[in-house]
Amino acid sequence: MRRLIIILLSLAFIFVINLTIMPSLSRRHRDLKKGYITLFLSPSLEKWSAFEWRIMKGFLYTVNLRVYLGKIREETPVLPPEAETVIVKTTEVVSCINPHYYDIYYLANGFLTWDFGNVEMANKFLFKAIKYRPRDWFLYFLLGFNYFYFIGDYKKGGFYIKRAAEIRKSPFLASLAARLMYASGRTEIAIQILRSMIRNAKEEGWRKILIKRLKALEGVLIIEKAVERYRLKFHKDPSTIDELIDKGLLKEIPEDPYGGIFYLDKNGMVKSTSNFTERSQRTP
Amino acid sequence: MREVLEFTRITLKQSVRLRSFYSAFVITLVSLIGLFVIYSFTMFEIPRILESYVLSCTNLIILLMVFLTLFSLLQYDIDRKTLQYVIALPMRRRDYIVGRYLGIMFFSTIIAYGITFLFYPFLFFLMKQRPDAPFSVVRYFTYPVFLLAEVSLIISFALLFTALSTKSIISILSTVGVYFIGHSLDEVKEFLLGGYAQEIPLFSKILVKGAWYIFPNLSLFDVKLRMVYNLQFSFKEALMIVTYGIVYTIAVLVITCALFERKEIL
Repeated sequence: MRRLIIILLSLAFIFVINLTIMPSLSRRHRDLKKGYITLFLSPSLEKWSAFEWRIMKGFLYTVNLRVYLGKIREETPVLPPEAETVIVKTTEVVSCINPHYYDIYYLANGFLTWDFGNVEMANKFLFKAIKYRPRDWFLYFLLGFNYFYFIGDYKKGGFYIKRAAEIRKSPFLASLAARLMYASGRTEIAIQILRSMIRNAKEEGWRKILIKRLKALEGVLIIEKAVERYRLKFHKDPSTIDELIDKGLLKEIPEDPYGGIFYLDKNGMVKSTSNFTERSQRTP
Repeated sequence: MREVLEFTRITLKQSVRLRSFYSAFVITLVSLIGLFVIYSFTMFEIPRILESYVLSCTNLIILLMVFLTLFSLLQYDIDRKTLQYVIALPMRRRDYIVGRYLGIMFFSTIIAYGITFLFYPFLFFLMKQRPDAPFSVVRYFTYPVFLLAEVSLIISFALLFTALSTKSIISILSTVGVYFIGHSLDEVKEFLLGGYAQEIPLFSKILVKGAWYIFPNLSLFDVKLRMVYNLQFSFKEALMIVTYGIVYTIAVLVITCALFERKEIL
């Protein structure tokens, strides 16, 4: 009986400690960890110190990165500049520990291109991924998309999407690659590529981001088509989008899912005050 | 031979008495919970991460159990002086070494395949959710062979240090040291003699190279990456790795037996 009381008292004591002291300690520990997230050894030392658990170490670092980015996204849609350093460092380390790990390349590519515009670094990681996963069609696809959409290099974009089509044996990708080579209208092709990316997106969060982008580009395409019709009819560029509505070429201004307002720049290009990022609201 | 088998039987019995099988079973059950947690954390590479988790757990549990059991037995033998009673028996001293080795190897094999079989239905169930998973049953059940080759080397080194030292703690620490050195040597050699070669003093280079040729290269037995990612891994190469482990073990055991025959036990 006495022993039982001692055990129960000890359990109660543990419960009280976990209820009182532990949460604040844990909070403090989490805050400190936020500052430590970029503290890695050199990639080769990280690889060495993983011993027999390289795959799991790479996986845990990737989970850490996802938790870190998820926390920031919960607080604000805008990623701070230091997040870019965290993504690059983590990807460098994880891709050294386990260069075959797909998730880290995918994650890095998504954030580095869309949120930070660091396409060069994203492509560097994709090239590394391709070296270790040469039969992975989606890596070529992402690389092709980066070249086409962010860099504007249609030739290289088409080349890599063609490679993806060859591996995947996909007629859709093959025709997309062919169109890219000769295309002049980027938005329509970008929409097709985004639709393909949505079909392949496994994670709900990432899927939602892609759908948002797709909606934004669909809005751009509607206005671009109206601008094209205006040019054909009046042989000049419209000065504002309202002009398109006045002339009956556009029913209404589509909504920018990023919260911005569409406008036409001095070259007649459709843009948005949101710049299609969550980062800032720009005015024309 | 009868004495060797008797020692093997005693070692297995001692492992049971130490509750090593029971502990391995409990740790495996706890690890199984982790399998389902990991499942919800992965993005694309669910099958590969799950397989890797299972292989890593098998690896960790076996190493843990082998180290704990081995060191408990060594503590019995050296510190409690039971070794003196053993060598007083009318038998060759090397029978003790070989018997102990076979006993712990037998124990490791039971645990390795026990864990592998225990994990299999759960892994199979989770893999069923992803029919595109590149999961091979043959590959999965081959993995413990490499793990056992590594364990075999560790056990032989533990026995070697038992023959050399008078305190169990020394042989324990030395064996753990060999484990870490064996897993680091390849990386350290690559690191020191690769891009940084010019900045490293000649003495360190010789030391690393010397150690590389003396200590066992345990990183060879870590074939998880190759198995999980289905990388090129020929039968010949696999056979060479296992043969390397067996030959090295035999060599260490021969040295151990020779040293143990002449060991003065006070």
